[in-house]
Amino acid sequence: MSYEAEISRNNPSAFLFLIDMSGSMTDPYGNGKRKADGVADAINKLLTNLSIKCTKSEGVRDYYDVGVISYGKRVEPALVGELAGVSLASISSVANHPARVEERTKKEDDGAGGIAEVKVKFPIWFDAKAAGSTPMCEALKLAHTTVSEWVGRHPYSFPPIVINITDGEATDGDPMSDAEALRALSTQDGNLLLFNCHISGTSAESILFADHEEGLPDQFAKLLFNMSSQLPEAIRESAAREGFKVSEKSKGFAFNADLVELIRFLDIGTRPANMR
Amino acid sequence: MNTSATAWWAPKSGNTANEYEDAYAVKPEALRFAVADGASETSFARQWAELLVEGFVQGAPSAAELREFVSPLQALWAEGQKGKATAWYSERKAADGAFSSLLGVTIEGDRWRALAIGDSCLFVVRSGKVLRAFPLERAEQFSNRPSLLSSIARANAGVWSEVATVEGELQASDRLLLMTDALAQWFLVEAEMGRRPWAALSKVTTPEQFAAYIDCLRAGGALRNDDVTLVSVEVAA
Repeated sequence: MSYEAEISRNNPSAFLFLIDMSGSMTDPYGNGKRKADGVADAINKLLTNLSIKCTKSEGVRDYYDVGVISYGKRVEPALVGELAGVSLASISSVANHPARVEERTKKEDDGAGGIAEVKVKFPIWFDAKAAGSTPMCEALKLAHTTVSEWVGRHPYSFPPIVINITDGEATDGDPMSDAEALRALSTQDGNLLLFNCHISGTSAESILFADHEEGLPDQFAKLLFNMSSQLPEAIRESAAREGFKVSEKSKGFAFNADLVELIRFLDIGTRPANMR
Repeated sequence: MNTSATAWWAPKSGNTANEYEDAYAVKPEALRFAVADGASETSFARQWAELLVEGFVQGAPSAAELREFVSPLQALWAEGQKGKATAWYSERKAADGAFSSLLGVTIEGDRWRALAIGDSCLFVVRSGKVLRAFPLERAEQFSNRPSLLSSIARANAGVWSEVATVEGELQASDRLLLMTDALAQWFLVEAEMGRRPWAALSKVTTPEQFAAYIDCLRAGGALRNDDVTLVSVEVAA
């Protein structure tokens, strides 16, 4: 059976994010925000959530290695601050080295029927900088180089998950074969999982874990859908429990959807039903 | 009724004893026993689990009293981790609260009473049979998303209606086994296949034997890798 390896400090897993930072990402989407800003926000939230997920009383446990590669004017590791230039860093060093920590206010249920405003620390690792073309093939190749070395060192780990976030149009060729090469990387627990998030300027309804390409709004969405890995059973079941519509053919493909949703389904141990 | 109680525990394989996040408390003179399982995705979970079991054997609250019982423990938990959460992630994690199951059992006269939130289980074994399994009755009922008691008041809103209670009569030679989820799930699978999992557990007389038996079950794939806790109460013949 595949995709059953326990994620532990001895056998950590890995997340690698590929972020489209091409000129077109300055276009607005849904709520009028620039796509690039929306993605930067999402990546910072994802890294925040992963850090918190791995936090225990004594500090952050290294259940994951994490990296961010941006592609646009250049294809390069994209974390800023002390982690600049690092392609995969342990989650504890990510947690301990944000470029800066901002403070934001959040409205919260105060448990007594009211709403309280609470100040929350919001760490930043990644800033939006959109310029240039969309060298997605090159980004997939850099991901391949980065991850093939990692799987060599972690043969028994849950396979790495690569999440590509883009507005869809590769300018350096057809990314299909690079995607296939990337998905062919494996540990003994299964093949690498490639998930794609398509951020579109259209107001079409958001889709998470699509299971067929019919109905997808354009050719780029269809291409990204076909580049994506099928969801392993454990992730599918976990998503179904949370009320998402999934089938056996569902893929790790999201269209205009909340990226943070994508990694909620990767469990480490018990998560209480009443914990948010 | 004359009873004797023993408790055994083992951390998840790959974790140190310091990282064990279950808890148990045994107060034989009051005939009160409890186990709790601090959720691994929360921080300061062991401290929370310990407060719950210690609190239970001291006060033996009923289901109706549980809400009031938990409130001062929440304050103690908050006090205990004050000043420890300095990094941004510890602060955020602590704000989410710790979560834990709780199974508490009391014996009065010739009756036992039990109360449970979450998936820590009680098995009453009599004359070579599982007479009662509580609150889960079948192995398939275990999921990794149980409702648990939180150290943060607002997270408990939906929990109070899920407190399960049960009671029964106690006879000479009965055995009450309190377990956290991984061992309980193994126990139910074995019992469902017509085996006698209590027999193997009753042979354990030292912590080393318990650890060796748990290692062996894990190696064979019969036991999910998780913290393990067992409190065994035997009624004299």
